[in-house]
Amino acid sequence: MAVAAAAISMGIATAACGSPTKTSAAAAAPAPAPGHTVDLNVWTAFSGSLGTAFDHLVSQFNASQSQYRVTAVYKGSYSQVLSDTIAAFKAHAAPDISQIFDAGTATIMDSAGSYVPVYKLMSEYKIPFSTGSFIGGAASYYETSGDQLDSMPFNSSTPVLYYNKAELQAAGISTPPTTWSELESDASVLAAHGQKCALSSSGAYVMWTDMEEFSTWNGYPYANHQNGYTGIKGMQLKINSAPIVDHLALLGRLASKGEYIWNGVSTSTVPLFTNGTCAMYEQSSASLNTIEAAAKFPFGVAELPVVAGDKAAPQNTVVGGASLWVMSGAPAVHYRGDAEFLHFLMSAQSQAYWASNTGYVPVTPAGSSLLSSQGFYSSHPNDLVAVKELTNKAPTADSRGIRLGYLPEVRQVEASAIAAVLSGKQSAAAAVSSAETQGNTILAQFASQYGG
Amino acid sequence: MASITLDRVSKRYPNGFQAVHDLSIDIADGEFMVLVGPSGCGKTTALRMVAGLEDISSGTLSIGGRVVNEVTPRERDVAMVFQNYALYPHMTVADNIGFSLKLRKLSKSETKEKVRAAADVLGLTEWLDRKPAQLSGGQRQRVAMGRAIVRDPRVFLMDEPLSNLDAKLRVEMRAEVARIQRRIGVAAIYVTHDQTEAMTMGDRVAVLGGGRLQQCDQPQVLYDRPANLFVAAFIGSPAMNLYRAALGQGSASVHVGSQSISLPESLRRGRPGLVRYAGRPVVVGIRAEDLHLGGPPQAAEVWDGCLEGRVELIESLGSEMLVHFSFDAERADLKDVGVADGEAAEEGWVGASDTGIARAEPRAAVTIGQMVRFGVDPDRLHFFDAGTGEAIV
Amino acid sequence: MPPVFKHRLLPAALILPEVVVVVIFFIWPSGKALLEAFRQSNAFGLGARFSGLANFGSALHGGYLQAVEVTATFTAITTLVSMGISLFLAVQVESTGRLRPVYRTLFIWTYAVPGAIGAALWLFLFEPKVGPGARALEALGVHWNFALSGTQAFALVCALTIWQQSAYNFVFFSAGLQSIPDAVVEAATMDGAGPVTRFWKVVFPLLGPTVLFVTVSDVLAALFGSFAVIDVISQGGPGGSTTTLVYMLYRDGFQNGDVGLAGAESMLLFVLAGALLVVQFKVFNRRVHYR
Repeated sequence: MAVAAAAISMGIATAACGSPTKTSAAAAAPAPAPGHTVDLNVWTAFSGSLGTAFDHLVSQFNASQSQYRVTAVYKGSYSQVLSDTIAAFKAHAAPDISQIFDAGTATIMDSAGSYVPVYKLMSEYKIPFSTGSFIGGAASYYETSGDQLDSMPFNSSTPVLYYNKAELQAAGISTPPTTWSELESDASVLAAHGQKCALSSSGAYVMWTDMEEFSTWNGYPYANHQNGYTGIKGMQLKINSAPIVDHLALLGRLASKGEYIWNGVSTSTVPLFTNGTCAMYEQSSASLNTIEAAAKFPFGVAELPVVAGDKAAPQNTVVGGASLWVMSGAPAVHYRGDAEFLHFLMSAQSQAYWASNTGYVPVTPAGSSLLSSQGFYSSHPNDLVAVKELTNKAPTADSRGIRLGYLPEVRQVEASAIAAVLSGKQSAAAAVSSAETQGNTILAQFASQYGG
Repeated sequence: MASITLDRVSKRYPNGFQAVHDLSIDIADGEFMVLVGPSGCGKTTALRMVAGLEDISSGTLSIGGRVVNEVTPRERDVAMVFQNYALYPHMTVADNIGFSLKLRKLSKSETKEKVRAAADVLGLTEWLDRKPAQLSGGQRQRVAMGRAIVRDPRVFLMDEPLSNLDAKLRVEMRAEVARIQRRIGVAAIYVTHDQTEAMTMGDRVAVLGGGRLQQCDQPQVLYDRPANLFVAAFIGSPAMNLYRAALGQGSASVHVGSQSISLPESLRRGRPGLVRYAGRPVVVGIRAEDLHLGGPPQAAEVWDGCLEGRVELIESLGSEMLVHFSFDAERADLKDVGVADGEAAEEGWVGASDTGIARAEPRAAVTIGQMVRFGVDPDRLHFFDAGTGEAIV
Repeated sequence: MPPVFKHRLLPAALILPEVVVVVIFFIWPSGKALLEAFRQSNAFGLGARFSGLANFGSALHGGYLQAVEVTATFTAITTLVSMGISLFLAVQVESTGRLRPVYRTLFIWTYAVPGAIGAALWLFLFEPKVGPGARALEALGVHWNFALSGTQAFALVCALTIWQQSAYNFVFFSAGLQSIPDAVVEAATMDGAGPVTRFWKVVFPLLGPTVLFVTVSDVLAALFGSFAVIDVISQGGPGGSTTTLVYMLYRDGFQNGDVGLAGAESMLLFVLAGALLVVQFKVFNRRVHYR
């Protein structure tokens, strides 16, 4: 990587990007002068209750010291935060910290020079920080090939299976299905009992629940180069495989009978579960609080079903969500504040507060332990399912995460394929095969731009 | 070919405005009828009712003896030339002329033949492939005529067809249009506001004012014996001199300002109506050519009437001279009868301080400011009721 | 006309604002797009390098041909249908009496609704579960779910565009009809033409310049202006069935951060639109009569 060859030190902009020259301090920059407060901007996609919880953490940090004042700015959807960050960086007006979602990780990580790697930042300021400070599923997702964290994992969730206890009981189903074939036969039973729709999936992220997480949870590779962790050149998807084709075919069969409903990436499916239309729901654990607030019936959370007869399954799920990136190009005096703010966010107290108020998992074992010791998980067993899935087994080469350039674009292609299968326009085999071909074109474009 | 009969035809618009009141005119087959009047007099509305472009509110319209009130323009078999020609800008001259034939499904060769014949008559042969925008005003006017005559219509309507031409061309086209009408020999109605056109072209002229027919007759009759003040003021250029006057005892004289003209016995016999106006106000009219500069012509019997006035302006036209003069008479206000100054006569301007215009020999010896005498032939005087404006006969 | 200004500076100063606007908002961005089309760089603009025609190669790959097809169909349908509807309405309104201004306002009104707002309104009307429009369609036996059916999403986007574009066209057709002298139409009446013949032989040919203008506007609106409607209704989906070239360009450039690819796509679109307009003017110029 030509760009990566340039040594990136905190606060030093590369000549290539033309950022204003900063103090090229090899050593850590000093703290701001006494009595002088430095403003730090953090861009996020947190709205509603998530925004409230994050703002609470921000104000706690601001109250805990007087040198830095952090302001959290809501920028819209995940992709908007990414595109705004890119535009701001090009205009030399990047925020201090930006929240970049899982699928955008490769895009920013491979744009060396646009950010200050968090592990370097922390060592500059002698703040204890290591990949091991984070839970396996989160650390593995965001680590570099050198096992270092360029960004700090933050809001992390994983898909789980929500189920409507009342409807399942009414159909005589005592426990939620653990395999997909069980789910398919349960769907027939539910239909026979007048519960037409058995299942729905995340609206915007169906390809995340049913292709990406489906692969890691069942132990199938998603792409070569260890799902993209070990190289950019020659990247190829591996989604055109029997398990994924069979899984989409299964969803297609259910959809043709009305037993599975998904209405496109722009339509939220949460109401389908909370108003009782569908008895089960594959959705991010981060939606737990939203569902709790809206559902007027007893519901439970179970681990995702696995492919029946698959020896490796269940393997582990990986995190979805976002990590926090420290942008380069800011005045030197900002970076100590960035480091301290991130350090505050990873503290056990912050993580416990965040997890218990949102449905995200604590990204540090310390946070989990704190919650356990407080008895949170015994009173909130639903919150524990995501943690269990993420830590079910030690990640393998194919289950630490998915690190693909232009992953958002690949996801669009996959969503199109899923729509084609569910509407009966294409067979699962044809749809997945064409999605893989299109996806590989996108990966090739990324490789030619970022592969050096 | 057909005659046209308007029988008490009226036009009322939905907003209540009545443009035409009980108009009755008979136009014989082959006759050239001119509708003339100031703008807003209803002449164009009357023409459009004949064409079928306006509904008739009441009364009947017959063409060739058949009532056509409810008949569509297409079936009336009427051709019309519009004021702005209304040529189809996107068609060539040939297509413009042949459009109606094409719609009648005439064969191509027959259409071509007829178009060529019409173009020959109008001298348009070499322009047949041009578009209207490439033609001069006169040529466009001819195309509009050609479009109308090519159809051999029963009735030929023209709405101010010459008003967009320059003065010289207009004079030429006057004769041309009259010639073409005589050639095709169908009944024609020609609308104009120009009384010169009306006088020179019409077999008969119908003068309209305020939506009503004022008088309909041959041009010379209109000139010599206007039925009312409106016609008197409208027809003739320069316009007739009209004065508020009073008849003397026994209608033996007429007093105009401080001057008076004796009326001979013969006149009173010829116009018995005058007797009733003895000692009463009237309007008296004198045409410019009936004012003889310097007194009665030598050959004439001795006239008892003279008018004296001061020369204000002399307009020399070469063949004759217009002498504007003033004296203490009060001019009749033409606005009272619906004719605005300057509308009646385009030539012969009446200045504010003038009271009259006289025609004189081109080389008569007069100078501005001079007091002059005009001989007046009492037989040529026109008398009108001061209230109704009707001619006193 | 002889020169009015004595100094050279004044005219230069007078045209300067226009020149500045054109340079800043047209020439500079176009030049930038052209440059980017031949370069590859990462999303953050780092490590740019010359890449020849690689971006064009990538652009022509994959979904591009589908987008060309979608764009062509979308352009043809919206242009023809909206022109037909608006011309019909304009002719009908012209023949009404006192209520003409009311009708006119009524039909122009939809153009005053901003694209995104109109789209949001239609989104609500045709929301698959609760929208009244969707229910009406269900009642007619149409299984309505544009979120999954490409054909339905495409139809919805077309209908909405036609709804908006018709109002725009209506304004111009109304004005065009009013500029045709009554006398010419009356002359045709006198020549024996019925209402239908009058329209097709006289009125329509005289509307030629308006028809040309409206066609060009509609084609440009379909090629470049469909963005807001598509973004609100379907985001190009499902399955690319509503991904027009300009929407693809937006997604690649702004959502996916691939500036080089978007640059190449914008150049291709520019060439395509330019070629289309040249053909339109050539075809029309032989037939349009300018008064």
